[in-house]
This record gives sequence, C-alpha cells and structure tokens, in this order.
Amino acid sequence: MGISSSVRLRFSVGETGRYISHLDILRLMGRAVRRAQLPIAYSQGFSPTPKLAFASTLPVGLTSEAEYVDLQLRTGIDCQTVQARLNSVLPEGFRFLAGADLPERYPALMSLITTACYQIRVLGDAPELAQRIVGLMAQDQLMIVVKRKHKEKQVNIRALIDSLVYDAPLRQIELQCASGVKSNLRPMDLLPLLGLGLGDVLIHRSALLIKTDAGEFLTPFDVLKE
Amino acid sequence: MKQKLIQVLPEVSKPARYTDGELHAYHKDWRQTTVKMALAFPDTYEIGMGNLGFQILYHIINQRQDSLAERVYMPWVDMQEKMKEAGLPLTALESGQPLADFDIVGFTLQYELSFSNIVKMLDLAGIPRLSAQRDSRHPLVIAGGPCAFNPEPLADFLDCAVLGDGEEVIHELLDAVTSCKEQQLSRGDTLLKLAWIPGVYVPQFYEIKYTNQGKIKTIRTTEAAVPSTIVKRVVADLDQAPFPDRIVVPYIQTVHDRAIVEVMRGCTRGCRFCQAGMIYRPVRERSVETVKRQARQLLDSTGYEQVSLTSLSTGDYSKVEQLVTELAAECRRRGVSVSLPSLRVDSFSVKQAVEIEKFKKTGLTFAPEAGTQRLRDVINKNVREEDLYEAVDAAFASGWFQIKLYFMIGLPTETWADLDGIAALAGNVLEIGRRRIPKGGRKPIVNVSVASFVPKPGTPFQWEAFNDQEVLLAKYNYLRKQLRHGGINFSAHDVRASYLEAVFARGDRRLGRVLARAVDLGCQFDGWKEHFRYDLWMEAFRDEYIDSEFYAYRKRQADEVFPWEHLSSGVSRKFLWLERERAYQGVTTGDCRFAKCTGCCVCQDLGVANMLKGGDGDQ
Repeated sequence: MGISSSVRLRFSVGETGRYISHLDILRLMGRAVRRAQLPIAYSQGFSPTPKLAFASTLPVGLTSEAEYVDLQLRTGIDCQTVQARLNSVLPEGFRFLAGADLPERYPALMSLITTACYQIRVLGDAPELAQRIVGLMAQDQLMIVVKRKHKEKQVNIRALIDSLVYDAPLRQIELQCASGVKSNLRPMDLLPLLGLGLGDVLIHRSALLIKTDAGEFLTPFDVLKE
Repeated sequence: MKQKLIQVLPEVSKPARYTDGELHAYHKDWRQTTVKMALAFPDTYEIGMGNLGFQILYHIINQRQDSLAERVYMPWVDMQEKMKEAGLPLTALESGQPLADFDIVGFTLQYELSFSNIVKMLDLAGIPRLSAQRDSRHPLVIAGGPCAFNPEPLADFLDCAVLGDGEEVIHELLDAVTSCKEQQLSRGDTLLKLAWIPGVYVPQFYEIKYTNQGKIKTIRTTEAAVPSTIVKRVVADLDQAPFPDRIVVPYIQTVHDRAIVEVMRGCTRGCRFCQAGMIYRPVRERSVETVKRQARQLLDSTGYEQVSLTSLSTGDYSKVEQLVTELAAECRRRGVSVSLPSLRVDSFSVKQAVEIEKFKKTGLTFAPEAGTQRLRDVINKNVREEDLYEAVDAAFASGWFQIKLYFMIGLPTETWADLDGIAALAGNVLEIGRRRIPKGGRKPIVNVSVASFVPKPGTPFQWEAFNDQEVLLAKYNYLRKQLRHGGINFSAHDVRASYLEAVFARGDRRLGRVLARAVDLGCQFDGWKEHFRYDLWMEAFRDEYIDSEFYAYRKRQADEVFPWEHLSSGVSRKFLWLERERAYQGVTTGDCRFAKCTGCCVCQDLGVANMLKGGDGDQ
C-alpha cells in the first residue's frame, strides 16, 4: 500500500512544554498519534517509528507558536480531522493550530526553513537596551563564543541577523534571524551581547519562515500555494 | 507558590522534572476534597515515574470522590539549593501546595539507600522529622513498599507503616483518616484508630527492650488495643484488584517509560536470598484475558510504543506462551513491541524472547546468581549449568550477540571455587557465542555483573552475616583478574554501598539517630554514586556511638529476636529456619506451584492460595 495522504500541521509549545527537549517532543507526538488512532505510516526497519517530519528543533526553554510537522498517513484523512483528533489527546502545553493538506510530492520541511522570528520578553529593568541594540546593529562584526561539545569557538553572527529591534513599552526584543540546516542562530547565544542572562528573559518563537530566491519570506503553509 | 517555583526553573538541570501537566495527571479541587494525600517517592522524578505501585495508588485514591493524591519526588541537589535561596518548601507537583499542608504524606520504601532521602524530604517540606514532634497540624507520615517489612530504622520518623498489598488497605486508611478528621481526634487517638486496621503498623505503640549485649530482648505493645503482630495485607484475586486504565505519561524520558501490566504477584521459586520471593507470597496470576485487556486499555490511553509484562518472574506465568504469542500478534498490528523484563534461564524463555523481539536484539540478561551447582543448591536457585548453556546457545543462534550474566558474591558457604565457577561459566558462554555466531557476524560479548549478597529480613538468610568488606574487595579483585579476557566485561557493585544497605536492611530503631545525623552531615541520594558519602556515614555512626558492624557482620543466633519480629509476611519463622538448615545441607526445595506444599504457612495463615489463572481455572 502506498502513501495515501500527507498533512502539514502547525503547533504551539506553551508554558508547560517549555522544558521538553526536541527528542521528548518527538516521542510525545508519536504517542499522541497512537492515542488518536490515526492511520500513520511507519518507517521500515528494525524499530518502526511513525513518519513524522519536524521543521526544526525548538531549543529547550522556549515557547513557540510556530512549530511545524508533516505527517504521512496510510489512508486519506483531511487535515482538519487530523488536527482535531490530535488536539483531543494532547497533554497540556501542546496544541495544533492550523493545517494544510500536502501535495503528492514535496520537499523535506526541515531543508526548506531558513529563518525564524523570536520575541524575547525582558523580565527586569533594562534601561540601556534600546541604545545597545542600535549600537550592535551598526557594527558589521558581532562575535560570540559558541560551545559545542567541550570546544569553544568564536563566531561572527552579524550576517545571521535580519533584524533586531526593541519594543520598549512591551519590554520585548523582536529578533529575526537565520534558522535551519544551512545557518542557524540560537537566540540565547545572542543574550550575552545584550548584557542579559538566561534567567532575565522569556523567549518565544513567533514564526518559522522560508526565504525565497526573490527575497520574500513565506510560511511553510504559504509555500504550498506557490 | 507554583509561580515562584517556575522562576527558578531556567537555572536548574532537567526542569521538566518539576513542571507537572503530564498526560493523565489528576488536578482535583483542593478545597472540595476532604482527604489529601501526597505520594512521595524518595528519589528523582525519572526513577519514581517508573514505579507501577505508585501509579496504581495514585489512580485508586484519585478515583475516590472524597480524596485526592498528588505526587512529589526528591528534588535534585541544584533544585534544593534554588528552593533554599528562594525560601520555597517542598511542594506537590500537581497543585504546588506545600507538602506540609497535606493530610497524609505517604512514602514508598523501595530500597534502604533511599532512607536518607526520606528524612531530607521531610526537612525540605518543613515537616518535623520525628513522629513525636508532630501534632494534629502536621500531616500523617506513612510508608509502604518492600522495606516496610523492616521499617525499624525509620520507626521514629513514621507515624505508621503499611505491610503488603496496598489496593484494599488504602481505602480503609483513607476512610479512617476521614472519620478521625471529622471527629477532630487528637494525633494519638488517630494513630490508635489506624493501628486497628489490619496490616497497619504504628511503631510508637511498640516498646523495644535491649539486652546488655545490645540485642533485642523484648518487643512489647504499649497500648492494650494494638495487635502484638502485624500481618501483611494480601489481595486474594488479582483479577478483581483495581488496575489503572490510564497512567501518568511523563514528558521526559524516565526509567520504565512504557506501559506496564503486572501479570502476577508473588513467586514461589524459593530462592533463599530473595526478599521479594518471600514477602509477596502466594502467587496470584491475572488471567490471560485480563492481562490482554489491561494492556489494550493502557496502550489506547497512553500511546506507548512498548508494553512490558512485569512480575518477579514472568517466564513462570502458567500460560506465558499463549499470552506472549497472542499479545505480540496484537501489538505488532499496532506498531507496539512487547517486553519481558525477567528471563528465566532456559531455552524456552529464549524462544519467547525470539517471539517478541523480532528486530531489536541488543542484549539478553540471565541470572545464574552463583558460579557452581553446589552454591546454587545452597541458595535454592534451581538453574543447572546445562540450562544456561542451552539458553545462551539459543540466544546466540537467534541473533543476539550480547549476554549479561548476573551473579552475587559473599553468599553463605561461598569458597574460592565458587568464584572460579563464575569465571568458568562466563568463559564457556563466550565460547558458545564464538562457535554459534556465524562467520562475519558480530563478536560475542559477555557482560558479567556482580553484586554483594545482602542478607534481608524475612528470608531464610536473615540470620547470616554480611561478608567482610575487605574479603569482598579481595573477591572482586580475584574475579576481575580471572575475567580479564577479550569479549568479557566485568562490573562490580560498590562494596561500601552494599555494606550500608546491609546495616539498614536488618537495622533497628537505634539507627534512627544515625540516619538523622547523617542527613545533618549532608548525606542524601545514597543510591547515586556521585552523592554517596561513606565517610560521612561512618562519621554519623561514630557521632552516635553506634557500631555499624554489629548490624552488618554479626551472624544472628537461632533464637535471636529480630527488630521485625512483630511484623509478618505470613511466611513462618520456622519455615525460614528450616530453609536455612537445608541451605547448609545443600538440599533444594521445590516450587509449591508444581510440587508439594513446602510448608511456608502463608496460605493457611492468611487464608489465601496460589492462584494460577493462566492454568486450569481460566477456561
């Protein structure tokens, strides 16, 4: 039996889901699919796993309203039904918000994503933050130290940032930056440059986008209409 | 309270341990509920979530209109620090209410090395440590689980302990606490009411007198209305016992993160070192139909990708073949795998493993326990060398390449020849692997895991001495040399941790002072290598003028009054002594499921019987 249909869904990660790692979200979604008794397709091989393809790994500690997953189903079910059935069995902290049916052939979601938007809510006082951000954006080199498996590396992240603005009344930093398999900036890695610590902020992912050759930004749903 | 806790989460490791909101967690109305019980697990969230008994009680209590149960686990050390800085007491996961505001705090006593965590949790909760320091404003602090068969080291800290199966007695307990609350009874009167419930032990109503040598002279009741012996509770028919159709599914990976169905309770194989095999008698099986139904319900409600058929020895379930075949077929259609946690040492068991683990052939574990037939006869582990070789032969032939062998050292009557036996067995298993695995296949690996024998209360070996630490170390070193072999990995259990376990397993009330002192000195998480502080424990013993060797190394006399003399699992002391004598004669004892009654007295004294549902009665 071939693959009968596929759907793309967008989901949110709320307060309760903030500290769940990507691997745990993977497991959680696999279990939700089983509970919803959706006719999911399974991978072949030693330990069959449900065919779920995520757009991106959400760093631990973040909430989000822009996580995407593609589901391969064995029989045709429309995306609204899939969304409703999953929502009825999900634990607190996770919610499916929108869906679209996928065409027969489509590229892997993760390979498409280029960009993410974050809202960084500042919890305490940060009087000089606005100037600081203007100052940072005026530079053409922004070096940060990235730790990867015991190694420390100096990286210039200026080119990864599309925009960085401070909304003073909301005490919120709006960040649009590179995200994906080609180049990626984790928003928390930016915090030291802003004079902020992990405990001073709440970070929320508000969008995952695909930059076209024409320089347009599309959501994973928009891209299906092209 | 919860809000404050959330603020410290970014700064601790694995914050999801403390966030609640898991699937199937109960959130009952705090104000509308009469009796509130906190189920406290004295170890981390990840360890505690894998405990089935805990989930069963959680479900039973929350099914009651008038009661609620919430969970609390031991916070990791970094979290403890943050709580201290923020002035936060220990709170329950679901409501975030302080532990001190519950009516009952119920600890599960799974292993002796978690005792310090219990005291620490009381401290973190701001609940006075000692029962004598608490009054009607404080929660009742109770405990259950396997170590409740000798809770004496905790006697001063506990208001009561519950012996045996919890499914029925929990209702009687909650009913009693409700009525005591309504009548506004004093703490003392409440405890008298509780002591009236069969299976409930209230330590403060028992007075212990000691001889000049420090042994126990007498155990006497101080109240006329309390029983002189507390007999464990036992659920006669497991098919009738409540079993959750849904369990709390954690967000993060925990131990035993899968659907678990208990196929039977109790084991009558009669291994003489095994406490579980004595205290959970008799054998009560669930029917094939019940097991399948419960597995189905759990899988439907949890979405787990694996179901585990648990018991002390699932290979001994009377219709294991039928159950495994039918369940595995059903699960395959769902994309779910079945696992058997305990494999018997025979080729038949391997066949079952083949049946269910069509793909993942990572490793198989067998427990011969001792290296020679002579010693296996002493401990009544009825495994023959040929059985093991047949089993591993079948395993290697079916595609496994990694075999784990589990042994104990320091067993009564052990000689160096028995250690040589361990090395020989491991070598032979490796050799079978080399012969059996086809050319081009992976090289066989034999993992030999060795632990020190710890004499446990309520077993035929309760009179025995714990082997000297120096001797045990020498034995480990000897074994390590013998097993220095390509293809064999050797791992040894920490001798000092086993020593402490041996002290507390057969400890009496006087150890309560040591426990309190050790926690003051900073002992906690003793079961965790990185936190176990043997030096601080020894300091605590010195500070309290208590000789730990008296508890660990002393061989008890035949007529010794044990600290748990008044606590009964139903297995008679006479039977245990007889079994000990047979051990020294090297005489084995059969399994009463298949041979004649061995005279342990459980069935007669508790009015129950082995119930082999998988057997004849099922059809």
